[in-house]
Amino acid sequence: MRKYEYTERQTMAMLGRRGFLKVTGVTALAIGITGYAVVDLLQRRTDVIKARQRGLYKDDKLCQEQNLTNSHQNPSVMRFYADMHTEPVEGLAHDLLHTSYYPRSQLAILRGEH
Amino acid sequence: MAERILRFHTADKVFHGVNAITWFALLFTGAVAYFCDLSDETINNLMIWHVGIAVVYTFNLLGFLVFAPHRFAALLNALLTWDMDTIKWFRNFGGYPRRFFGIPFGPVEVPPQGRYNGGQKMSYLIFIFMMYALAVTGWLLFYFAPAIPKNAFWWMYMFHVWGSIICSLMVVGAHIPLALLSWEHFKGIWGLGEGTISYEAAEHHSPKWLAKDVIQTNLEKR
Amino acid sequence: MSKTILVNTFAPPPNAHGENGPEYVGNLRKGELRGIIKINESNCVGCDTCRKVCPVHAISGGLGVIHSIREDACVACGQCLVACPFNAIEQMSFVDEVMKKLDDPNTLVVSHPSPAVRVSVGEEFGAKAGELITEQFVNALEKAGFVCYDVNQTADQTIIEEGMEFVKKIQYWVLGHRGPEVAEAAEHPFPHFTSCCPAWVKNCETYHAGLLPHLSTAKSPVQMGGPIAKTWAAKYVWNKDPRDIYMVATTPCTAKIFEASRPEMNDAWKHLVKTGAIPADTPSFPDIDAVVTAREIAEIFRRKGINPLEMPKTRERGTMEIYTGAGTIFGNSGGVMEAALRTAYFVLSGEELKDPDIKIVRGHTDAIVEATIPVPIKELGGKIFEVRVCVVNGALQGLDTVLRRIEEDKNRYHFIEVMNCPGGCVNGGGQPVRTDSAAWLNPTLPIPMQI
Repeated sequence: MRKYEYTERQTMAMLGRRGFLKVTGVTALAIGITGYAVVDLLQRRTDVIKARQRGLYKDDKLCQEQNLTNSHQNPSVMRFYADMHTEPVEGLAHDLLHTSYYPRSQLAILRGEH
Repeated sequence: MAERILRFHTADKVFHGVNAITWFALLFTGAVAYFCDLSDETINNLMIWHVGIAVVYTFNLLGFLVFAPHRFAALLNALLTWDMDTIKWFRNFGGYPRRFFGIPFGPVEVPPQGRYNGGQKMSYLIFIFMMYALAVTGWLLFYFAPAIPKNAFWWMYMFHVWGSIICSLMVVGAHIPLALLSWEHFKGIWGLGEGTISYEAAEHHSPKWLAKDVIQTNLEKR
Repeated sequence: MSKTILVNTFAPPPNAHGENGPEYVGNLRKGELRGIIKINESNCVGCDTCRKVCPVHAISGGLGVIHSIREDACVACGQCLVACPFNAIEQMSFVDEVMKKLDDPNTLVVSHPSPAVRVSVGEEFGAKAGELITEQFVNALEKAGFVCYDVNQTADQTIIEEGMEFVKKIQYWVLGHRGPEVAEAAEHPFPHFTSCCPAWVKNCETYHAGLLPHLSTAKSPVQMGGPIAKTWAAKYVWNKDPRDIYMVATTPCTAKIFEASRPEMNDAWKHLVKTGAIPADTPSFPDIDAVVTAREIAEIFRRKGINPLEMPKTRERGTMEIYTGAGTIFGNSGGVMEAALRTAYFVLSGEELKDPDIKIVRGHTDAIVEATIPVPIKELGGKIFEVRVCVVNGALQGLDTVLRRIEEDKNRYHFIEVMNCPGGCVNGGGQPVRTDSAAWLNPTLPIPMQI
């Protein structure tokens, strides 16, 4: 195999300190900016969800200030049971406010198909 | 003088070759899947190949940086070092408009250039940026899709699809034809064996590189 | 400047309820709406994002290919619609029907707005994300011709019902009570699952039917609101014939559209016929007549030239608008759990929690939350019983893991809240769609790879 008579100088000799800093600087900047941008994008992705959640917890606090903290403190809800003469989970409340579910793989049986 | 200069080290040739082949494989699989009206199975298969080839492409990029940092540094340094001769190259675009299209654009003289001429420096910087950005956007679009806000996803998608096409047009319309103009350089980077070019080719294309950065070796002629 | 985008909708096509077909087709019974969420083939580029966020893997099509939704598998949660970067997924809309009813002077059109809508509807008009505008929103509803019955109130009702159901389970399974009052609890062992999320319910019915006995029998707040409105409120509050009441659930959720069409959800009609309040030959009417999403109520406002952000910020809350903090947090992941625990704690211990904010059960942006709540049991002289709870924040990332845990260890949890949508209803498929948001929760990695 024929060798070559000439070649390029050694890289560090060609670059010198300036060149080395230039190259490492640009590469580090590129990787750094990309890394920062991607991490920032990913970290901020759920900001909207968190903001909406905070909105509802703020509403919770506003209700708590009005002494309306827990569901059993709601006067309108209590009125329903009083006016309709029923108790939770029992009788009328059960008929109106409770339900049943349908295993969808068994619709044939539930519909009486045999 | 039948003397030869080593211009392309092994790392350069491997990186450039694998990059070129995977680039066009990615372009083909991506563009056909995107533009052609084929069966669902064919399109999905093309995309499966696209992602698989992208793995090779990405490892090739990283490999050049990690296993041949001195070649990467030499390349990037050369591309980022601009002088008046580099800028003056643009006054007549290296003389190519006059040479190929007879357009009398700028002076006849092309100032002496370094290892890369002005046009090469500009387009290779663009290529390196595009190679990197397409890899980054590609992996984000494929793997991180559920976690990327819609606006960002849309812009990355458009960049990935149209950026790759525009860059490929630059490669096919300028880079490859111009590369073929110098058979020595073409053989040097693609041929088997050492990546050498003739002394004359260097004198013609990159005299300032020859003067400043090329030294004699101590290797004996066989 | 609004960061929300307009979502395409389509009118219900013929046979949308399967009304012209047999008793059931595939997984859908006659009467149930089908095809609520659809992918528009001309806008789909095959980016595969929708398939990657679907909690029930109901979307067909690999990377690069135009995708489609399989109706039998779909739970109509709309997460795909919210996630699509090309706005290619569309929703069935009943806005035109509701607009017509608003013009009918004989009909009392009631808007039944969910908790999550009050912190999102403003976004459609340029408000910041999560801005709380309850008073302005309800004022806008009234201006548009609606009467408001706040779902936050029915959420309180749901807590009373489900809370008591849970307490009875504790009484039967832990404290050893027996008798007719806890007989139902004997059929429903732990762990107890919430049932207010209709996407979770259809998910459970389709893919985990063995868990159905564990689901709370309580309806969701919206579906309780229908019967309450047409029985109690019709008589005691509005003084209106129930047949002239048109209930419009106003939700952050597209699965509610499916839920309202479930054929068994006509308990108001059944009760009114049984008690003779209406003639026996009255044709059946559903408890909830129509469902509009937060996006669509914004559209109704726009059509009527109403901007909720310009409405007065104060309001006297009527009987049907009174709600507690426990009710309003339903819209957040962990909110149902926290609300239920506030009441269950009171019933079991006889005293209120010192700090009603049970922060350890809040889902925030974590896919799974586990917690233990010590409850002093009054009838045991204050002996502490540790209630073990779990919050599944988004069915996509958390459900399979939690179900596997309870299959391995039946005693791991007493109470599990499942929300289909990551973050809770605030991030529902019916909420304003934003360009700057994504719904993948923590842990960020790994993201399951699909091609």
